[in-house]
Amino acid sequence: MSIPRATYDPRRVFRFSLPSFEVGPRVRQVGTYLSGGLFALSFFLLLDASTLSSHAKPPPDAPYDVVPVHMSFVDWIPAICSTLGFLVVSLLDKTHLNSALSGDAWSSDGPAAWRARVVLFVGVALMAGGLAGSLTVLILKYIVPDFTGYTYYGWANVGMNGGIMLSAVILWISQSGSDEYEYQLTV
Amino acid sequence: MSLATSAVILLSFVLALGFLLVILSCALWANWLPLLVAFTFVLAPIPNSICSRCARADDLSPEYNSAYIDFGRFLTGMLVTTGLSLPLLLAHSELIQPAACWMSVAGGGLVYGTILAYGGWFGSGSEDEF
Repeated sequence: MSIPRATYDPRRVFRFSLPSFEVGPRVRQVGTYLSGGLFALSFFLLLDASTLSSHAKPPPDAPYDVVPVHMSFVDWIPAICSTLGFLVVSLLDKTHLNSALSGDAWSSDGPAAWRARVVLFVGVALMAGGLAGSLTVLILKYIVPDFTGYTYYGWANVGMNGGIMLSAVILWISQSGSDEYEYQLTV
Repeated sequence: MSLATSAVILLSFVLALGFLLVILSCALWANWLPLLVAFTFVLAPIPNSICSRCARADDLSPEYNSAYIDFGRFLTGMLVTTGLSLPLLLAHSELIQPAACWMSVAGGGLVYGTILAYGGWFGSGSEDEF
């Protein structure tokens, strides 16, 4: 016996419910490809800046100067945080979370839903921390010391972390449909 | 000559053209970094075929797991994007010439397109989804 789902559920916390994306298998397929591509593209953005920094030459009018700033391990810390967060969010089994969020009376306070919520929180916090960290690196390392011409390294870092977050969003939306239709197709 | 035979011959010509472009982009400037693109595009169909086998390992069982297939698609997207963006990266930091970059992208695209077309025409019998 369970409580029927009404449009107005008095146990809901928020006034608007979360939009549930019902996507078909086609959207699921394309979205997964797109998410993987975006993930690799954001990594290549950071790798591009890193390669550029490692092969940087001094300007041609002053060939004996040293290049003022290089990318170092500090630039990679936000990327590591974002990647860990991406892995955590993507590996999370969404069904536990959905049963936790749908207001079902029996599973909303179950231990699995509680754990899923904590893991989701940690993952999203890691990704948001990566984005914030990349902005910090951009401002503190490249903009405040006024390394004009080298801010591309910082912007690439911000773009990489934003791309990973966008990739996680696309993957989430494309995975939110049910697998039932695909199951019938393959069997 | 049947249609399938001429299609195979045409596809093999296109494959050879793709490899020619990639190898030429390396050999003309004596810089063998763009060869990585060919490896990437050749590897690109492998995750999907492996993961579809993994997902179908337990046939007709109720707990069909589509996570393997999605992981394979994710890896395929990553590999294709790698093959497209690696030459751009190398050309941007002036490790290879811009012409070599475009030649290796075109050659890799031809190789991957050949694999896709072959899988689409002849792969339906073996249930491989590229």
